Amino acid sequence: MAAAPSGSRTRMVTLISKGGRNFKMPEAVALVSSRSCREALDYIEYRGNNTMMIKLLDIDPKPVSMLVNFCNHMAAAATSAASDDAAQRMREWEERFLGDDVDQALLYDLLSAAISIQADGLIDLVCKRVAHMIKGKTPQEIRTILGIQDDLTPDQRDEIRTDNSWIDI
Amino acid sequence: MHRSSKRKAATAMPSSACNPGGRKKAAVSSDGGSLPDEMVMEVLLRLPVKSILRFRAVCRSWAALFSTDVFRSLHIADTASPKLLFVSPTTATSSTKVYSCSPSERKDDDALLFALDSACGSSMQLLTPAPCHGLSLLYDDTAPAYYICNAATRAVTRLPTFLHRATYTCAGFGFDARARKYKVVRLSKGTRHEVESVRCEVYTHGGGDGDCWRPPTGGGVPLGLRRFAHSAIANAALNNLPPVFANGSLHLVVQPNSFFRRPRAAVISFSLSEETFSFVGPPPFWTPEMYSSTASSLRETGERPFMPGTLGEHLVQMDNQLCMVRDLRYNPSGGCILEIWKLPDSTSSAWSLNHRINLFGRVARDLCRTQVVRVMGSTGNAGSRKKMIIATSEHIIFDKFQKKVCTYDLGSQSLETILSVTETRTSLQTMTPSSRFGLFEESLAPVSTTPPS
Repeated sequence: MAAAPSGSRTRMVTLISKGGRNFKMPEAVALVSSRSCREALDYIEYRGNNTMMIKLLDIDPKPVSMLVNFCNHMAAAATSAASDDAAQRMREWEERFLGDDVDQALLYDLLSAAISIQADGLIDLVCKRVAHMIKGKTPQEIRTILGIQDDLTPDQRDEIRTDNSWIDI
Repeated sequence: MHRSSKRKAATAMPSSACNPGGRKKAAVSSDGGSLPDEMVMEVLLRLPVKSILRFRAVCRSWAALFSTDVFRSLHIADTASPKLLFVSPTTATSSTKVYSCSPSERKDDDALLFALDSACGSSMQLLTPAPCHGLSLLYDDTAPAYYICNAATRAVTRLPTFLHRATYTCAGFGFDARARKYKVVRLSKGTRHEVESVRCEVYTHGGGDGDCWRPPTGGGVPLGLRRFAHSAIANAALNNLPPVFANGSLHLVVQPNSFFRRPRAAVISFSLSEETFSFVGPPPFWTPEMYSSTASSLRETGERPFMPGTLGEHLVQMDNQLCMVRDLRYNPSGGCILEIWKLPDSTSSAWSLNHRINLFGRVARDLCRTQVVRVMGSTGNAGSRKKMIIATSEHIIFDKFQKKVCTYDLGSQSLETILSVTETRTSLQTMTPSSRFGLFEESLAPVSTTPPS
């Protein structure tokens, strides 16, 4: 990995969203948050002061900006001391981050953006949120949502029901 | 349980109808709609156990997926908030009921998990106070028989009969990370006249070894550790202290009163992967001076409690480390103190003081009055407020005992009772009643691996 230049400029990583909007984050943040960035920077021997650009041209600007916001926040939180209060504040921040104004579509776009740069922290958070949203649903609702065909025979369904008779299936 | 409503269905997942913002994709298609396929797996791995069991009925491939070892081992248990498992102390001889409740949420919905027929409630003990990768071990004194259960999936199985019987026995449960199997280890202390004075038998859950108890592969207790093992097993049996599972080994603490000098070994450890015995040295507060004093001066210094059946120290696993709890409630200076000493590195014997619980006022008086105090574990490592979970037992009158589970909040230093049970002991062999409480984490770990015969 090339060493940071001794000049006063911090090296940045730029994400480009649909519509050509640019969102920047410091390279240090990108290295901590994104596996793709870590791997890419491992390969590059020298790139001077050039900013690394990542094209996410089929993702809307809002999810990309949220992604950058998330990475910056997580990197800052990682450097501060761990304590019960800090953990509590982080959870509250995460609640606000994925607040009521984040609808399903935005959630999935955010997930796509996170997957594109392999931002494991955000992938985990979004998946946990989706799991929380679907955990109470009936099997039929899940099939409807994900478009899955019901291919269980009545015998198989009965067997599953009796195996776990304490759950309504 | 779950009610679907029209409003919920409409806001559930995006289709082109309710998202006019302009997603080009068509409404829900067979490839998972807008949720990428690889992420469906990531979402499934984060579902609670009850939901996974329900979703087996979604389709055949999901039912198959949830039964694979890969999925079960990747399924992420929520380790920050373990739940409480509780065996009800009914005196009826026909069945025992096992319940669960959640210590961190303070809801009063004790869920009845299952009932074990032909097992007596008052002789049933829970041998796993700390969560052990999703499974718990129960022991019925009268049968006698061991049971393994998964409190999240509510599956339970009875183990085959063990070989050695003796006056003093104890059993511990743990997970061998190398073989990826759960093991039950039973130690019995025979009489001095028998050739093999300490017997050890191991049961590997999940087959592979035949469905039976066998001697440990690493050999029995080494000669040099025999007397420490005797003391530790007697201690475990008399004071109902099952071996504690931490860092891949089961640990038992010796009773320091059984030695005339500061013992070389304070804790006997049994590694589940190697199946060999080792030891850990004594903590700094077992000073040589304690042993050179006479009994009367011990009472004066108040260092060692002078009541039968109470114990100075017990072990507990917290934050994946072995800890020793030093019970200083009989401290003459009046405070009610419990010290937690941690052993970060099991190869050295460097115990270090980690926490000091110092209680005052009425709470302290209540805690000091109870006979037995056992720290079971802690919750909230990663996020919520850290709390310690403590089980207490108090002898009320005749054969009645009051058993409670409390949480101690490290931040606010307050003690709160979550569960309180009155128990009637049918036999008063020991003053220390057996444990009925245990913590567990949600997990899909299978319980019956061999088909029922």
